[in-house]
Amino acid sequence: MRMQKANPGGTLAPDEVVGRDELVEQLWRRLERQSLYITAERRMGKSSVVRDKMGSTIPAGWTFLYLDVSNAVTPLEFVEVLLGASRQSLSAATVGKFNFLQIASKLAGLQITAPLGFKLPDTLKVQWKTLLTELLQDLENLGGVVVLAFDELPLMLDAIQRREGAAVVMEILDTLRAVRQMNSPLRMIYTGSLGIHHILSVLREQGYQNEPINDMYTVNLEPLTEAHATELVLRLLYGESVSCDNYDAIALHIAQETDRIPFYIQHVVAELGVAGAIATQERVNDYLHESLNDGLDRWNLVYYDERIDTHYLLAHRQIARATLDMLATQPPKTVDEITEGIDPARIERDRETVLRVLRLLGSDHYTTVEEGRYRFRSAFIQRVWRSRRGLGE
Amino acid sequence: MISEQSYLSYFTPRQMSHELLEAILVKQGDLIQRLVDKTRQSVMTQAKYHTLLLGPRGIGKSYITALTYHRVKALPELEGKIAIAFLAEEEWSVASLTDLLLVILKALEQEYGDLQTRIDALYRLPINEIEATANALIREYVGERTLFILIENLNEIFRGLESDGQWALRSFLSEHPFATLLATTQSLFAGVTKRDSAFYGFFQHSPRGVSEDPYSAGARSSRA
Ligand SMILES: Nc1ncnc2c1ncn2[C@@H]1O[C@H](COP(=O)(O)OP(=O)(O)OP(=O)(O)O)[C@@H](O)[C@H]1O
Ligand SMILES: [Mg+2]
Repeated sequence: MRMQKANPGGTLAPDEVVGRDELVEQLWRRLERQSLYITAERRMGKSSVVRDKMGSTIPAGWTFLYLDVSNAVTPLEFVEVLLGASRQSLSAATVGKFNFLQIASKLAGLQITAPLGFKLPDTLKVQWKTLLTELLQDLENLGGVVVLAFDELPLMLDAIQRREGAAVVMEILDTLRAVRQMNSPLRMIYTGSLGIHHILSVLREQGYQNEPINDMYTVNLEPLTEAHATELVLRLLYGESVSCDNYDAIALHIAQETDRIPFYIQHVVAELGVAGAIATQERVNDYLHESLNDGLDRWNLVYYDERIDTHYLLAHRQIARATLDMLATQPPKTVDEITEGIDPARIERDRETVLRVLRLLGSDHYTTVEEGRYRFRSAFIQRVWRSRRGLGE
Repeated sequence: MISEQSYLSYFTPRQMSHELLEAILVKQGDLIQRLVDKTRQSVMTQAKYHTLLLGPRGIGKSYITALTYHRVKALPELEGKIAIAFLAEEEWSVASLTDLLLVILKALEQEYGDLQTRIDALYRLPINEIEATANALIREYVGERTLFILIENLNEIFRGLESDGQWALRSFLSEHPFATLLATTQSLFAGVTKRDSAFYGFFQHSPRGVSEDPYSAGARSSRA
């Protein structure tokens, strides 16, 4: 068994990312034909999969560019980030031959060569679309399949939307969608900590009718399987030199109690490592109980609750909370049961709005539906919700 | 807990010699060893660790940071593989990623003394070109090494950066992971806790026993 140190929140070495090999193989196969939208709860391991796992298993003859676009807040900066990533991953000679440079030079009226750390002149601001299209064209012509992995794309779109309005964001999405037409060897991966549905709903309100991701295959990044989660716990227990009487039993216990979410597994074993005592099931339960009720909230759990204020319309917030409160303490429910369960004297509600809220809660990974009955997607998050909302643990 | 906390807080640990710091080492040995270990891992492998030491003023965070700095610096196996940027304690001036990158460069210059001319050149650039150039300069300077950034009062820096600046910093740190962070803060703050914040769940916190929260520390010892 390989050992590894607990590293909740940091970057892992590719072979420390446990249980994603099969998925990554499937993703490469899928990319032969189609682009991807990868969605998951925050900290579930999206970047680990895309940047670390995919980044270290690129198929022969393919080009893979990983970009974190969250520092771009204008369309021109987006172009710069893409150019920067090209410069990082491709040779200077390859980028030197890009048509993009000639077009940009012509538009700017000065020689543009794109050294590292390069900034496009502000005068090109209005030309971003031409430049983006040109650059994508150059990348498409590299030969072989070219994968552009845009981490934090929804977040960038959100920032641009706030600064420059929804129309620009629509144009960016449409431009990217247009180059992914049939027979193009260009593939894209959209992912990030903010679900793209929040962006699309803002655009829809402004009359946007296009389907900018309907050609992409949506991948919901799930927690690890029980076997992989147990393997991760074991690697970490050894790596942190935690002693236990029965490693397999403790590993299984931690895997199950955290609902196989690697981020929380990392946290629990990190704590065990620091404590230095012999790990027992009781001790694990104590840690979980303490962390779920920690006055300082070091695991930041309150934000499963606070996020609702950040992203939900005023009219949806109370319904969302009432729904989650109900599902946290009761068996799975139908839409009608949920609607009925919300006290109309306290909260204005109707079936349509409840349905809309349920859709949002689903997209934000709180809930899932099985045979018409809604429930929490994860028993761990359900438990977090109960403890944070004072509904008993 | 450090028993001499009131005593320690009168000093600036950063200005103490390595020997003196070692001499007043009381019970933080374990934690410091862990921090050194994580830094070593971050340098020797592709993994990158980020730790946040949480606690009120005077509890010894600066002491722990300073001693970790000295220990890491003294490790022969890391020589030539690490670049250390120990930011000055009171960097209140940071209001953007550009500012922070300049502060990092300043700290590298302090440590190694071979960057001043290139830093001066940055200030002669048009404002909007500084960030990209400073970013490239740091990466070029660090090269194949790992950048070890020590930041005190991260809460102040995050306040200056605001949301967009924090995201830009996270992007800088995680697009091509090449840096490991050891930061201190007196309190948890929005940048680290809000789910939409860039650094949500990014740091491993200092362990409970030394997390300087009287309640949790008390709860732990009464249980043990
Ligand atoms: N497969 C895995 N094996 C081991 N640890 C993992 C795995 N996936 C995630 N982790 C843990 O979870 C943390 C978060 O992972 P990562 O940064 O990839 O998440 P993310 O989904 O990109 O987060 P965000 O939504 O904030 O961008 C890592 O630092 C690591 O501790
Ligand atoms: Mg991520």
